[in-house]
Amino acid sequence: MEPFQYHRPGTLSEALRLLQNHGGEARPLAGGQSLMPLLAEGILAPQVLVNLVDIPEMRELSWSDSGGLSIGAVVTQRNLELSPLVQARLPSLADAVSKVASVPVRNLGTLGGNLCHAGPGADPPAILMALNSSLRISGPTGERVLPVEDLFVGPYENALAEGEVLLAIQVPPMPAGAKAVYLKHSVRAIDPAIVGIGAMVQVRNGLVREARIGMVGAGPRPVRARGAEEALRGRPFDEDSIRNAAQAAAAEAEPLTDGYASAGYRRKMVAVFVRRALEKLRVTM
Amino acid sequence: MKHLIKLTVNGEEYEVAIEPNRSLLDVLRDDLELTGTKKGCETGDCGACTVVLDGKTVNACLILAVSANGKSILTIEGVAQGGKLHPVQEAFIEHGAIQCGYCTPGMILSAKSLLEENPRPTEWEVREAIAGNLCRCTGYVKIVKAILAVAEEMAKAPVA
Ligand SMILES: Cc1cc2nc3c(=O)[nH]c(=O)nc-3n(C[C@H](O)[C@H](O)[C@H](O)COP(=O)(O)OP(=O)(O)OC[C@H]3O[C@@H](n4cnc5c(N)ncnc54)[C@H](O)[C@@H]3O)c2cc1C
Ligand code: FES
Ligand code: FES
Repeated sequence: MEPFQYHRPGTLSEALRLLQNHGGEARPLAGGQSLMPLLAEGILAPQVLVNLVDIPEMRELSWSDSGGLSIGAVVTQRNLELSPLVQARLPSLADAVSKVASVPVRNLGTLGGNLCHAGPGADPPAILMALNSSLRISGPTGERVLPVEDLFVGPYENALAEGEVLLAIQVPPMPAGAKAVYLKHSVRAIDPAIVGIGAMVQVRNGLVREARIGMVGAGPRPVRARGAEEALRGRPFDEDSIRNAAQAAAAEAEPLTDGYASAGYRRKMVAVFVRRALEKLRVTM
Repeated sequence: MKHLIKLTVNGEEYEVAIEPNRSLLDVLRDDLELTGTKKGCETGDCGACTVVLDGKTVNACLILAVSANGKSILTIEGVAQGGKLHPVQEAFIEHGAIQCGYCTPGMILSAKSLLEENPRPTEWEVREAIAGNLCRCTGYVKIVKAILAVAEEMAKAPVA
């Protein structure tokens, strides 16, 4: 590990000032579960680390009936998974974060850090896209809001500008009667997803009113399966529409080959896991 | 610039002056000479470096020692109390689950934490709890058996 200066600010304004003063030489640190290996191997060598874990706004986890769940960026994945609030309001999210790595990694690793790291096989992006989440981003010129899918630019590359931090993740309440699920396909529990599918479906009067599907492992970055969503909307939620949606998802996927799986295998698994996710929702409706 | 940090390790207080680019693992092993915590991968994959930080298992290779300032840490050296092995340690010996010195410290700490949170785990829950602890040789069967045996013993006669 190269030497660096270490700061642990107690306020957001102090953190933003530190990040701005050091420009591109400074990097935020949250749980360190993705950053530490990169520092240890010398892949990254920032001159300044700004630990965000004490910033009060980033530590909050709260619910409001209008806005839904607000998750401070440094809330750990383990706390989310075990939170009675999250389990009651958004059980699919609690379940999805429980699929991340191992208990020790989830004990320190934060949801904000997971998203900002933008790892191609990360689990939370798929369910957060399905749940129509947005991100509150804070920077030197104020705050902005970004749909979660717009955070991911490419593998390990996020859309934050220099000096910006992710403040919180906002997950709206589930639409009336809607159900959501996350399915992960990996060999070992601790591996990133070969394919991960998050799906949310709302049925009204026998027809699909709203469908949102988030996919990881289906391309260089997490994406919505818009073709699959289209194949469901306005149709009965039955075997036919589910089969069409699974085919559409596989067709629109642009998977990569890596050490875990080939592109061809991933494309097949996209179809399989979209179908399984939708069938799982259908039997509960 | 060195930072002066305080750590409570196995009930003892330590004050160490360290550069910020040191992992908790290196400070435990090299500065405090507590080498029961092992270094396997330094990437969070193996769990050989598992310690309990303020009641939660973490990989000591994935946290900066400065970030652990003020915290309380349990390492494998602190698990036996007054010369008496912890029931998890006893069970590992009895069931032949102590297969090597590399993964065992981490396995024991993960198992102990699981049983404190969930005294009656299913076999699946045991397997999930040690998913971050890699055995690179013999296998998990005896380890899982040992942990389940402790749970069964505890159900019969709760230990303090
Ligand atoms: C062995 C292992 C297995 C893993 N398996 C999985 C898995 O199965 N599924 C999965 O989804 N993930 C997995 N991960 C990844 C890991 O869970 C997350 O990426 C991790 O928890 C990141 O959170 P963190 O708080 O530790 O972030 P850090 O490591 O502290 O930061 C990650 C990156 O985000 C930046 N950052 C952090 N917080 C902010 C913020 N608020 N604003 C701006 N930038 C920020 C940092 O500068 C850094 O670049 C695994 C990791 C390990 C070590
Ligand atoms: S040495 Fe820390 S997880 Fe392997
Ligand atoms: S690595 Fe310890 S028994 Fe296999």
